[in-house]
Amino acid sequence: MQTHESLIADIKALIVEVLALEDIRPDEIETDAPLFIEGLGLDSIDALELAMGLEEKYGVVITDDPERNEKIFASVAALADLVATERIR
Amino acid sequence: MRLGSAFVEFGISALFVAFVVAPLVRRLAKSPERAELAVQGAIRRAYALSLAWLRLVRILTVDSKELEQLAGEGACIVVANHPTMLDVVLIGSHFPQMDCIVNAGWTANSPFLSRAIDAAGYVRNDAGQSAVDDCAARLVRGRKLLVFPEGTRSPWGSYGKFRRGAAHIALASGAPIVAVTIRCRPRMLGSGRRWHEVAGGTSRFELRIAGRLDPAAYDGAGVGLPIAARRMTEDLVRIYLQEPDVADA
Repeated sequence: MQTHESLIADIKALIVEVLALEDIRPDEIETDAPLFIEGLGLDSIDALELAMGLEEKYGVVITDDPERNEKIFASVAALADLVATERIR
Repeated sequence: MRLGSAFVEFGISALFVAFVVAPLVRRLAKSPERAELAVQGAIRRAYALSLAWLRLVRILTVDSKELEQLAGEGACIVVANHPTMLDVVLIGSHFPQMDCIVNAGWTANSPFLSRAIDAAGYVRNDAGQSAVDDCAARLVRGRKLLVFPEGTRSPWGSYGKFRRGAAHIALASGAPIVAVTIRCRPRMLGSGRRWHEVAGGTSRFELRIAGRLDPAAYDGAGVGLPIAARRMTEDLVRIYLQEPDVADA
């Protein structure tokens, strides 16, 4: 069973790895800061790639539901909550 | 008001497609896909008519013969830089069937265009994974797709940031990306310019095929999809950067 802190650290590492963010270290990503538009400034293709990465690593399924996705991708904290409740690996 | 007349003509064509062709086709076509293809055929004719008009009133001359070699090909993703408002007309006039990815923000405030776009089955660029899957499925069925990777018109005299959607669609479908360059001299109808700011002269448009990218070259490299899409997009940008004077103001 993984602690929530280490899960948050893993997700930050996954974001940097999957999106090849060369100019940012995982620990520089703020847990509660928005990921899109402001904050990291990711776009819809980044969201798509991030969803693929989360699916591969944790087996969580992210569908094409804009309203749900807006909540899921709100911040690292929101992503960690989703993974914690829905992960199968 | 040479250009004004062209805009009026284009507007009438769009209304005709939205309110005459589309409802008729929907009633007569045997399947939704056939209806889309029929509407796309009508759109091509509307584009060809608009171009004939623009040539007649000497707003432009066009050399796009190179694109004719694509007409006989099956599925491919045509990508292009986007210097002017007329780019989609210039490319679309060559292909009886061509799906397009359209800027969702741009269609939101134009109900007539929205109707024509929906009837043609065009895909809006804000749908994420379902847009990628939808486009890939069409390519697998042998359809062609037009994408402007910058997502909007190119900044005056340079390129915008290339998005990775075209690469994802290529990797998902196996269809190649064909990179088309559009040169326009003197520049007109560009980003940040009002449509009526057209010099009195004639602009010359040149459309060329600058390169091709095969997704198979990126897919099997033992990297994940995001990295493969990134590399493919980097190579696409390189094709454009190697082309002289495409993005000059």
